[in-house]
Amino acid sequence: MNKSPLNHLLTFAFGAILWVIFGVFLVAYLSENPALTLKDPADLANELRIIFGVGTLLSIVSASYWYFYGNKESTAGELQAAKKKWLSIFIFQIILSVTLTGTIVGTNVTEGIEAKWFGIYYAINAVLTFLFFWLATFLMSPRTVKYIPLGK
Amino acid sequence: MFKNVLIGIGGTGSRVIESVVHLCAAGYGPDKLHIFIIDPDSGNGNLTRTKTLIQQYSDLRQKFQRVKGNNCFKTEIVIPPDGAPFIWSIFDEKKYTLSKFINHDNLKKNDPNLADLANVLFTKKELETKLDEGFRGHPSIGAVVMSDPPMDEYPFKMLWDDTASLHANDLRVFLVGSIFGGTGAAGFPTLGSEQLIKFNEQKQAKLAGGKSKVLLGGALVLPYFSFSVDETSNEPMFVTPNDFPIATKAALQYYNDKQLGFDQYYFIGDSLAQKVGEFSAGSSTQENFPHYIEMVASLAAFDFFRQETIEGIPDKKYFISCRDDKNLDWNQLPLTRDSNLLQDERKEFRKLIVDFSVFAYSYLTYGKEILNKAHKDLKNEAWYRDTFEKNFKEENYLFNPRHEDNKAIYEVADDYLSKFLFWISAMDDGEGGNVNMINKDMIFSGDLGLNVKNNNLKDPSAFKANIGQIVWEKTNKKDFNAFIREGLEESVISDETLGAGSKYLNVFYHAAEKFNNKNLSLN
Repeated sequence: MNKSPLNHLLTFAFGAILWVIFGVFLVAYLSENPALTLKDPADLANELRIIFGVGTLLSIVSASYWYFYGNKESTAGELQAAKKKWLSIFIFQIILSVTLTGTIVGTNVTEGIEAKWFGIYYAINAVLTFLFFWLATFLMSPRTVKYIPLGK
Repeated sequence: MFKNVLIGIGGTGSRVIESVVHLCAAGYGPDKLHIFIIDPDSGNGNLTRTKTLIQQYSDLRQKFQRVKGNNCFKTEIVIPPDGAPFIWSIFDEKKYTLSKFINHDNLKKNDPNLADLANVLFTKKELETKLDEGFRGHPSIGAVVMSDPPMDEYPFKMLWDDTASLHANDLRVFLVGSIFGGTGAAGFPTLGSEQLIKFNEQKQAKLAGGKSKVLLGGALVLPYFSFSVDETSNEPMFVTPNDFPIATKAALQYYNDKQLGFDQYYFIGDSLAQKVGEFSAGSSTQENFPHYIEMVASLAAFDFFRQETIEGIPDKKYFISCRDDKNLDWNQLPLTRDSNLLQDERKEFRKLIVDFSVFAYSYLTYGKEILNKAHKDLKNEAWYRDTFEKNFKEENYLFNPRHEDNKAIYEVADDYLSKFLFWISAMDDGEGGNVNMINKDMIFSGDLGLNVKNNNLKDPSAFKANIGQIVWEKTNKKDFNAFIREGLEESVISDETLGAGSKYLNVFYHAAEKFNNKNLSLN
């Protein structure tokens, strides 16, 4: 699972499944249940699909970059730098999840959506970004850097 | 079943044995080899170096549990047991002279004719020079004092132990010494005489029908080195490089005329006359740099021990080999008498030596660096954690490579592997030189001195390209990062019966093998 291109493909597939779960199967529930003043729930669903899609895509790209970086021969002799790199990407993912949720809040601030729904959107963004990145790299990092993700 | 016995005679003999030991460490040697040395100069620096080396080899071999497929240290080197002498130093007391040995003063009184004969055969200087630093290039003295070695005492006893069940030619005895010095030139023909070893009746070496249990071989090392002569020396009698050709010529004539017990001779020499150190008449100051010819003499011994069973009376054989030109590399080494096997042998030999060199270099640098870090600080190193993390127990030597009980193996490994690296590197002539096998400049910084500990190993983390160019030939130029990825990470040891110290060394040895499989052009 940590060999290239298998890890790239599995990460893409895993990310796609997550997006389909939230952006296709659950999106109706996530867009029809919040109280909306003016916006059509279908428009909110489209926004959520795009936001979740951007988060998932950037996570897949981040994980793929990590696999590529971890596979480079030069990384074997620079594990401290690799650790910093992984942490940087992980923090970027956290910031991304906050930014994406902030975008949802910003575009729907006048709609009167209950705060708990923004909490749920943040939770989904967290799953699609840093949690997804962490799990993918925890399971599928190349041999040289396999112990670098947090918790290993 | 064969019994292999190697006898090194004099300074050159002990230096050849140094090479033999290192080649055995690299995995190029027979399964079992009995070794002893003959040298009256028991304080000789070369001899001391070889003696210590054999002890360290045996010590490391005993402590280092090797996993299947790891052939380094495969040869069991046998020396006399229980601290019995490993060196026959000929004289029981210090400052012995030939005059004392033949009881010249008594002869003058009791048998003046015999005393006169001694006066004809030996000069006064020869009779009175102290011999505990060797025979100083005068083999005629050595021949007298070595003519009756104590076969019932160690180390000679080791030659005859457990030989009752051996058949014709099963006791393979190989002598090695120089033809041009003192001790070797005296001991080689004396011990090679028919009655002393080959057909020794007292030890039942002689069999019916002109056969013998002993297959006797020998490597005669012709002049191969040079050294600076100290013209101000006060030594009464010594040999200089200028004496070598005439001594060699006389000796070769002698071997041509004299019927000795040898079945197979190897004549080994070199015309490059490389300097191996400063002049010394003997004793602790006589310590020289290793020379490739000593390794070639070792290869002759291995070729002798490896030959097929000989039935009946062996034919006399003489082996010589020479370089194609003035350069010496991996493709010029005379490894076997069988020309059909030569190419494969060369590949195997080169692989074993380069594997062991990379093992020694990587362990002594990066390996030691990792050992000096705490286990908890190695959370990111996959190769380390894959072998040592799973069952890690701080207090158990089987799982903790830094456990107190594992320190002994590292101490002896550090010493031995440093010596190996010095030995293999000291033979290198450097860029534009004649002898190029392992590139010393990839391993050491600065000049190579005789004191190994003063030499600085280059840090492979800083000189990343060096490890892939340790050998003087075209490689795939893999670097130290590749060593970690394609070597260390692919060398996980899961055998839980091994001590963690042995596991650690095995990881580095396997890593070296795997790295070289990718880095060397093996075809």
